[in-house]
Amino acid sequence: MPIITVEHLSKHFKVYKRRTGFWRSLSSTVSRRHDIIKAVDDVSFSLDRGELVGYIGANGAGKSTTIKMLTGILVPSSGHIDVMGLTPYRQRKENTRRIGVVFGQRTQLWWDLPVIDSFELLKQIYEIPQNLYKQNLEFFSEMLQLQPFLSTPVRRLSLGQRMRCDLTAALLHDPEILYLDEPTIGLDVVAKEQVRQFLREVNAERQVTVILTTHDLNDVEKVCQRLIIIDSGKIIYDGGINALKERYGKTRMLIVDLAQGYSDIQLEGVDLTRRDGNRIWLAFDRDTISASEVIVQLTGRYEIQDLTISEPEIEEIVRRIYEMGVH
Amino acid sequence: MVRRYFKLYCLLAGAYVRSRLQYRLSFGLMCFGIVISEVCLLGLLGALLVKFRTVNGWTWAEVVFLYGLGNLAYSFMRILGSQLDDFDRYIIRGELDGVLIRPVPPLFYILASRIELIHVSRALTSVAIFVVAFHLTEIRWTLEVALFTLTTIVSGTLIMFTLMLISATVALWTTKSGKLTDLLISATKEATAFPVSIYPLAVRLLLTFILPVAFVTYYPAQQLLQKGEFLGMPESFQFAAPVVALIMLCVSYLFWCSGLRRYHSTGS
Amino acid sequence: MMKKYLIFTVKAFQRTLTYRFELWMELVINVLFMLVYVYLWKALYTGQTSVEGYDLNKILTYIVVSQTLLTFTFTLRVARIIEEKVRTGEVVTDLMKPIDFQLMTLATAAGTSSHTALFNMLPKFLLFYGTFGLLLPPSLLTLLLFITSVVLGYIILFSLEFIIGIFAFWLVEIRGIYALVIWGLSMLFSGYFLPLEFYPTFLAKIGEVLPFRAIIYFPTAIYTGQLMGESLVTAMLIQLAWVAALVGLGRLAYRAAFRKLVIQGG
Repeated sequence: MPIITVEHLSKHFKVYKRRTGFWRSLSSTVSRRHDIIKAVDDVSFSLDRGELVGYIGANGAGKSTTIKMLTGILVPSSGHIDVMGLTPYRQRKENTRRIGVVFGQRTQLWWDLPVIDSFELLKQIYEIPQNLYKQNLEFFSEMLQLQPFLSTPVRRLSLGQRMRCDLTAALLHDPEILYLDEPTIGLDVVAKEQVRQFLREVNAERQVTVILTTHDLNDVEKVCQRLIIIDSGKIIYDGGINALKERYGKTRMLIVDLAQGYSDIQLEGVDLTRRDGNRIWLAFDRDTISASEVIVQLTGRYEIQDLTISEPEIEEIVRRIYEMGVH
Repeated sequence: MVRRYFKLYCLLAGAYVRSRLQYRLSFGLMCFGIVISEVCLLGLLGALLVKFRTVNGWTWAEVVFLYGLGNLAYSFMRILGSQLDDFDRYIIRGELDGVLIRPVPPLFYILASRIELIHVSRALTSVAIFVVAFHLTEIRWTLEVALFTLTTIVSGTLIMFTLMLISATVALWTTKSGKLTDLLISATKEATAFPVSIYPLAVRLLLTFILPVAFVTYYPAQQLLQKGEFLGMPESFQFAAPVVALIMLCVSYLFWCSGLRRYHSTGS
Repeated sequence: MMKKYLIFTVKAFQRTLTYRFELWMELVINVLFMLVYVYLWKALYTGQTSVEGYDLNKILTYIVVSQTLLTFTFTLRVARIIEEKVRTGEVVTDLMKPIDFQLMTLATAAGTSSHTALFNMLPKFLLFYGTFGLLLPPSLLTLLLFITSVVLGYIILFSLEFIIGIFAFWLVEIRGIYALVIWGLSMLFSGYFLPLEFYPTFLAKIGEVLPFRAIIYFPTAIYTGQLMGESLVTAMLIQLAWVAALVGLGRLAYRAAFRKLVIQGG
């Protein structure tokens, strides 16, 4: 039985046209025209308890809108949402008790107060029983090493420290689902890694279902088992990460340092995608030609110094899906 | 249930006060600024009354009484409803989303998360003005008068609060409402300072039925000052402030709910 | 040279246009505000013909003109905008641009304010002018001098707000000083509520050494013909002196703020 079921979900917005030019913008004081934008357009998916899902897409692709509908902030234009047997926008309060939400760009903590005060306030807001609160606080502060700055005002924390506190704040009431909107935005490499590891552990140890939206595909690659890609309001991919690589990641890249600058390079079954001095980038499809065949060809015709083969990064794959659409 | 919300209110409001007290200099400056601006306004009113002595048959002591009464309601409203001052930032900066993910009624959460002690300085100034005016108008202190005054102040606070709520709610449609709220509140506060009898019928009707601030000072003052000046309105209006407050509470709350529904469907 | 600043003005003007409903509501409430005062003065003048050289018509003209000019005070949010920019750090990018921060802020404010003047102040004034049979300036020259004086007053108000806004570099929040200067002193001494002639002597004396009367009282008194000949020239010279002093002070303040930013990193 899935924990989240979304069927034919759509959200349409009216967008008023801003007219350019002095007189035209003046006339828009009197009347305005609008367009309908389909932010989310007939989206269906379901999630099982304990899944860890990356929900990705470009800016304005509709990921925040979907999250807002799942959390009960937005009412869908049409379609059906079932979260733990609740309809989020109708049973907003019941729903919020059972979910945790982290907005990466905006802290939910009390800016000028010590971190611990925010936790105490949330304890009251969510009516968390004392023993559960204590237990959870201990658990998270050990796991995320919050102890050193629990009594520091939030405004003095670094971005990474603040994110760790925000994660704790979202989980203190033992939510069954955790929504994260860009949780690693602006963080440095170490802090990002910390957040990722934490999400994996929380998911594994507490069976929390995690949905995260992100720009950083490393998040997805390192954290999620499943990936949903949305573009212009429609889901264009939903499946495992390995399956994605399997399907779209057949292209390999061979980077070769030539011994001298050959003026003309001729190879069969290979695309020369880039050239920088003596270094060339060769792309090939591993179903039509194997790496060894390419190398044999290459060494037969040119003198080479060094070469490396790289698998495509997930970022590369997603970019390609965006460009071409799914086939 | 009530106890839980009372406790939560105290905790949230307390958190705001503690945040605020981290900036003592700024807090002090603000209090000082408010007191000075109150004194300046009173100075203006004084300058006017010294010159003219009476306003439409109201002695200057009676006008100061009206001013004090209106100002008291205004100060309490500012203490409790401060969050509505710049409510549009909740929408512009997306903070309303953060409110909607909490298992608490949004309006309660928003109001509770700020209680502005700065305006206590204004309230204290107003109390001082009111006490002096009370003395000058030679109203006899009885238990009834005390209760009536108290009810009047509470109702007045609520009426002003509901106007503020309505204008803040407009932001749920227009995204911006800051200036509007400022203006509406200052305009209505200004209107409470003088006897409504100076205005033509249309404005009187406006201040009685649409922006019912006449019930904050003017009508109750009929009872307290025994003016008997009703200008064709029912005499019972002098006791109607609590009823008006109640109606306004319902109206503004319904308006708020419809604003929130609209936010739920547009998210901006 | 001035062209790049003009872009800010036009942009701000257009930005204001996007908030339609708010602007209409603002106008309605403004009108209510002014009605309060107009009727207050009508009531005060029952049984009086002339007080301090103002008859009813003249005082109503004074009140409407000064209330209209007060709209600038209400709508100019320069201090708050600067404070917000300091808080979000946006000010850093502004200060690093190869343009003058003060001029840029003025140009932006002028855009918003010219919109206010066109769509709020002018209709408001015409409405009251038609309804209450107000006076016009005694001559075309007076009208031109009035407009000049309004602009000078506007720059004084702007400079005050600008300086208060710059305080945000040192203070966490400036609402205190703002309330003190703009809602307190400026309201008391600018003459928006009643002409300075009506003030008790000691209050009038204090007002003379402060810049606030140059914001509203001077232009309004020029309009009503209260200031004429030599006193008019003196008034405008005083305005010019305040413009020079406050603009200069604003420059010093923002240079100091800039230094602080460069040395301490904000």
